[in-house]
Amino acid sequence: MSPVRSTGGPSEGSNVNVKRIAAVAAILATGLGTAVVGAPAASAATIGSCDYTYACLFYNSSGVGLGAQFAHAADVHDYAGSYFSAGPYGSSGAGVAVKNHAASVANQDAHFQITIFQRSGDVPWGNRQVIPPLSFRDLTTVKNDNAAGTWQYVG
Amino acid sequence: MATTTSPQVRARLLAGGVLLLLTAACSSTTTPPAKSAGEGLNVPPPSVAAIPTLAKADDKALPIEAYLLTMEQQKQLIAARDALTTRCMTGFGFTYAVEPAPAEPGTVSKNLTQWRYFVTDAAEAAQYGYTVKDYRPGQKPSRAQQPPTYLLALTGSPTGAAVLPGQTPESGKEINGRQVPPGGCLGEANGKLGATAANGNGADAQLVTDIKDTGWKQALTDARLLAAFAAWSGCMKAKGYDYPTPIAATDDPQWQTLGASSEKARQTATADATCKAEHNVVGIWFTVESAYESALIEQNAEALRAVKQDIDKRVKLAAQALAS
Repeated sequence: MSPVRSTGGPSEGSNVNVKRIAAVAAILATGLGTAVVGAPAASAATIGSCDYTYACLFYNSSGVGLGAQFAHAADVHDYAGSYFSAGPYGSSGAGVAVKNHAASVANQDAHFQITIFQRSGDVPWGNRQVIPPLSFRDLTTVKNDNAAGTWQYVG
Repeated sequence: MATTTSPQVRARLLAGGVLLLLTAACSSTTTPPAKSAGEGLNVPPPSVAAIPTLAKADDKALPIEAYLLTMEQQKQLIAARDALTTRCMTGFGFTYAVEPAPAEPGTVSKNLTQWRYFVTDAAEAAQYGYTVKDYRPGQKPSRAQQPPTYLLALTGSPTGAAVLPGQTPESGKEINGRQVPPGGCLGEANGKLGATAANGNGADAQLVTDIKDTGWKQALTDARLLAAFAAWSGCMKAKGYDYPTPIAATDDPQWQTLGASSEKARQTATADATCKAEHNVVGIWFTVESAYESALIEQNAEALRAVKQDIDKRVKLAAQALAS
């Protein structure tokens, strides 16, 4: 597979504002603000949350409450076409593209690490961000610059 | 930006909103200040005594690696967690299903410096272009379906939901009159092995990965490395290739259409590695990045001493768990 560099996420400096605008726009677009009241409580238990053996990418870092999430069980060779969904950890960023917009990752598998790449096609050149089994990480190098995520067995 | 959502996604958004309200109502009211990971880490350009000539750096260690768990330590902590979890699950009447290693485990880099400075071996580049020799993505098996009580005993939640930073683990749940520990058997095992929020729930300290990533970023703006890139770029130009940096050559969008191991990619990657060697780009890059890491390590010496003590403590706890 060819390495495809992610097409430049927002710079660190402008990051907060861009994210806030994107989140507000997404919430307005989905109508989340008004629809919450009538939602059936029974469905809460079936939410695809950051469950055992999954990895979850979050729109925000832990310091600002994680926000909307994207869960994956298998490898994702390109996050293009995937979007964050509101979940148990918040709705900030719901509807925003996952590619180049993740700020933190929880790995809920006890034996596999997950590596987040800046290039789709998971070519491991350069600095990478590895999230060890059953751990949480605020992203730095690949923050807002995440193109792919794949699993490797550790032990 | 996406403005359309499927009915399924919409339903999840709605349900998520309810849960958000519920968790907001009963979780802790203290909100940590907004702060980006790695924010505030910054050092002035450090001095470098001598720059060795290096064709490759994958046999060298970066200074920060001393504060990261080694692969061996990680495996030991995992084995210890498996042992403690198995014991705890047995107490609830369950057999903890530790899945065997998959047929395709995926290539784990041997250290931080492997593949770090992009193509470095002209002979390999002639064969593989901008793809990586012997690199195989893994094949993660899908999770076996487990009943809610099994997941409750294992994780403290009947759906197997994670307990993440800022969340309070559910407690007070019982299975057959026996109290489930907060975070379930995995949570209990992690606790016994010294897992904390500071060490990323039993992995590496956030500070350590932040230093690793800040060193990488700062090195990429350093005048000495930029001069090396300029020399490399001139060398490439003389061979008929126009790129400002080796990273730009790797990320050339034409590899998407031609293929990263196409003839053109192989020729370009060969020139790339040759020019790197000619101008000691790897030697300069590794030395400058190491110097930034060392300066950042010195700046955070006290916190890093605690990190090292924490690793030592956890390795001992793992050894004890495996011996008992």
